[in-house]
This record gives sequence, structure tokens and C-alpha cells, in this order.
Amino acid sequence: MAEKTKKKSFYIAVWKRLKKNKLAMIGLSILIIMLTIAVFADIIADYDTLAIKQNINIRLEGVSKEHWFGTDSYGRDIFARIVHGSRISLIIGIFAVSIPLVIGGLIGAIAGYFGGLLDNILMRLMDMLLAIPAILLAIAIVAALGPGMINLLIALSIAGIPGYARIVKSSVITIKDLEFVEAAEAIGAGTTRILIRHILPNILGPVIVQATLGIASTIINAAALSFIGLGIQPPKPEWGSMLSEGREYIRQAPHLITFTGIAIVLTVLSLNLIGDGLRDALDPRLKD
Amino acid sequence: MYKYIIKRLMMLIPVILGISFIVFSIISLTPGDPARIILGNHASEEAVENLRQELGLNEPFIKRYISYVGSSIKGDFGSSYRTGKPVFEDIFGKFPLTLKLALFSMLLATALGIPIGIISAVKRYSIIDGASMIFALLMTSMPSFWIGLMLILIFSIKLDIFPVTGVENIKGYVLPTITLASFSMAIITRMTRSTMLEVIRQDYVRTARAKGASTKRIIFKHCIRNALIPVVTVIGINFGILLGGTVITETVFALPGLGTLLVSAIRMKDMPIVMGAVIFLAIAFSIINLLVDLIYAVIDPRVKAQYSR
Repeated sequence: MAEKTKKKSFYIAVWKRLKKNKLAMIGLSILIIMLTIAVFADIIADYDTLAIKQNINIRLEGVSKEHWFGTDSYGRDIFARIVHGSRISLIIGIFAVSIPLVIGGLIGAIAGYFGGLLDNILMRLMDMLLAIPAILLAIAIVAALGPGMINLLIALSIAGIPGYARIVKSSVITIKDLEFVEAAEAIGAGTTRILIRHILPNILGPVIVQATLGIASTIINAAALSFIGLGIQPPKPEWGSMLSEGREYIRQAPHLITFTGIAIVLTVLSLNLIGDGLRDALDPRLKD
Repeated sequence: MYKYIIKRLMMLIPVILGISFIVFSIISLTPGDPARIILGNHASEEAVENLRQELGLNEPFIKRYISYVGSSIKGDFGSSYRTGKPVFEDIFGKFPLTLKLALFSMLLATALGIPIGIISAVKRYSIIDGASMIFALLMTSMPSFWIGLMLILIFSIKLDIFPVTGVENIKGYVLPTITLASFSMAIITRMTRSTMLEVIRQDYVRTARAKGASTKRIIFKHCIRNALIPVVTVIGINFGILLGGTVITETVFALPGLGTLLVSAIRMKDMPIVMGAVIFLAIAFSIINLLVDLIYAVIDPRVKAQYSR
């Protein structure tokens, strides 16, 4: 009971510190707006008639009352496509971070907790993956599997595993020899219980920070892969592939790239602001 | 010191083997028969089978990998499925542009990132500090390819100062370099600022101040060198991001480098080129990281001391 209140008060303290951070709160507001748009995308703009259906009569139109962000080369409403694109980007961002976070986290936890030969084998494997720049690794995987949302998710997830394994491992090492872990071992707690009940809560801070910033960079990487034609394919309203289409009409219709780009920047910026804010809020050295 | 260099060089061998093994395994997952891709859909079953034999595609995976490594050591990365030309020739012809772009970007990112980071730390909470931190935050939040498109829009189309594409002269490199450098510059700026702030807090800096050294002397003599040690590591890591990023930047500006070669090879399912290009870029990254580690050893007396005994 006492432990529970203490844990709670820790998170309350972190939240209180985060709340004082104006930039983090701006980030949080933008993210909530983006999430709302993604959830209610179908209500905001109809997918079939506005985001997908082509209408050559109104192609490349500028900003107007009917089409807030103008229309693209197929006469599709850019605002509607951006709204539905937010769904794709956020889903990829969340999944392509949580999957490697769980897998990499497990690898890192096992390597850090048990050490020895197992640690050596696992971490050398991770080092091998890290030797290839993440975006290149993802490109190689997509090259083999082919384009598409699921393959993009697989590629980004595999490319993300070694990074999370490293962070979790180094956090586990710093706390596994502390007294409370020793105490749990002494009273006969099982390995799984120790890892989940005692170690996990104590390494959550840096992991959450890393995951938040990870979603931001994953959204950029997913858009980049789609931009070079290896990710999500048209006519799906994915931000990266929309920018790639817009590139063709950069002279006649620059609005094709401006609004879509701003959507990506706002989403990524919001996550970066929250991540930075969380890092400061969790930093014990900055405690007030 | 030599011991350290030799040790690091030896460590490069397993890294390169690891890279090639991973990339080879990934590419082997590709569905479809390479022999069929080379000969096209109209070729007879017999001809395809013959080619499979010839290319050794019926051999087990490990045997194929070993023979790939064996011939790559001799500089033979196989031939393109499409043109039949040796992969190595193609890659080597395109690599200079990519390397130039990555080096220019690294230079720009460090030349701007380090001084801005130092000034921000020294003048903490000033307008300069605030402005550069907001700038860095925006740079890390913008996809590089979008920055590239906006630069084309403003400086090529509206102002007509730089070309949209092409690197016939140095002018053509300006926009691609800024595009590629933007993210790394932001990271280096932030890293330099935070390590500088850390160093400024140290006891020996207070001692230097107490004995009456001028601020200028303290910053240049006592702080910068120590602050830059972790920054060097970050620069090394960023080289990987830059080499990977060239693939995207080259696509934005339609530059004929290794990146565009890789992307077009993927579209045409020309796997020997894909494999060669990825391995080549990853090895380039490892070698650059090795150089960074050696620089690290030179500037960090702790590493030097460890190996001078």
C-alpha cells in the first residue's frame, strides 16, 4: 500500500513538472488535436468521395472555400487527404515503435539481467544491425519484401529493435545490482517477477522518452520511404507519397507540398516537444 | 597508440562480415526467382533452370553466402540482372557524388552546429540561445525531403538562384547539402550546447575563474576541448544518418548518385545492385566510424593513456 502511494506520487510529480513546461504543453495540445483528427477522420471528410475519388475538372485548384488546401493533380481534396493521412502516419508511428520496443526491450532486459555469454551473443547481433544505418536497413528490407503498409511496418520495426535493446540493457545494468533487486532475489522472487515488478517500473522513464522521440523519427522515416516510392503506394493518402506526387507539380501548384509538409512538421514537432519535456521532467538533477 | 589502431582495424573484419551476412539474408527473402527475372516471362522453363544452375541458385543458403563473400573480396559483387554489367563498376562510378554530398553536409553541419551550440551555452537563456534552440527543434521536426522541396520552391523556382537539379558546378551542391545537413546540424547544435553547459559547471572551470582567468580564456582553453569529446561521437553516428539520408536527398534533387542507383535498382528488382549498394554504404559508415574513433583517441587523453602503457 505504502509503495503504491509512493509510485503514484512519483508520476504525479513528473506530471506537475511537465505541466509547468510550456513547450511540452503546446506539444501535447497539438498531438491531442492530431489524434482527434485521426480518430474522427471519416466524420471530418469522407474518404471515398473526397480523398480518393478523382475529378479531373477541378485538378490543381488553389485554396478556396470548398477546398481549404486546394486540390491535387487528380482533383482530390488535399485537406481530406491530409486528414486521412494522419491516420496512416500515426498508426505507423505507434506500431513501428511499440513492436521493436517490446522485442528490443526483451532482448535488452535478458542481456542486461543475465549477462555472460547470452548477453554477448545478443548484443553482438544488435551491434551488427546497428552497423547498418537504420534507414538503409529499412530500405533493404522493403526492397526484399516489396512496398505496402505491412511491409513498411516490418521494415521499420526491425530497424528499430537494436536501438531499444541498447537503451533497455544499459538501464537494466544500472539497477540490477541495487539492493531492492537483491532483496527480491533473496526472498525467492522469480526472474519474470523481478524483471516485470521491480526492474521494469524503474527503467520506464528513459524508455518512454525514447519511445516518444522514436515515434517522431519513425513518422519521418515512413514518409521518407513512401516519398522515394518504397513505402505506402498511391492512391492511399500517405503524406510522403503525397509530397512525391506534389514534387511533379512544384512549379504550377506549390500548395501541394506546403500543406502536407506542415502537417508532418506539426505532428513530429508535437512529439519532439513532449519527448524533450518528459526528459526534463524525469531528470532527477532538475528536481525542484 | 599503434596497438589501438591495429585493434580497431581488426574489429572492422567481423563488422563487415556481419553487415554482409545481414544484407545477404534480407535480400535472399525476396520472393520470385532471380533467373526468371533476368530472362523474363517468355523464357522456357529449361533455360531458367540452366541459369539457376549457372548462378548457383540451387545451392544451399550458407554455400551461396560464402561464395558471395569469397568473390566480393576479389572485388566481384556479381552482375546487374538488367544490364549484365559488373555491380562494382556501377557502384564505384556513382559513389563519389554520394560521398561528396555526405562530406559537404557533415562539414556544414559541424561548421555551423558547434559554434552555435557553444554560443548558446555561453549565453544561456539569451535571445540567441532561444532562437537557435527553436531553430534546432524545427530542423529535427522537418523531414529532410520536405526541406529540400521548399528550398527548390524558394531558391530555384521563385528566386532562380540555384538549379533545381544537376551538379555540373559547385552551385548544384548548395541546396542538396543544406537539405542533407539540416538534421545533423540540429543534433550537433543541441549536443554541443548541452555538453558545454555540463562542462561550464565543473569544478576546474570554477577554479580557472577563481584564479582570475578571463572568460574568453576559460571558454577556449578549458571548456571547448572537453565539451567536444562527446560531440565527436555524435558526429560519427550522424555520418550514418547522412549516408542513409543521401538516398532521400538524391531522389529529391534527382542526382545520379548511389542513392538514386539503389532506388531505381529496387524498382527494377535488380537485387545484386541493391545488395552491393547497401553493403557498400554500410561499410563506408563503418570505416568513417573507425576514423571517428581514432580521432576520439587522439583528442581524449584517457584513451591514449590506456594504450600507451
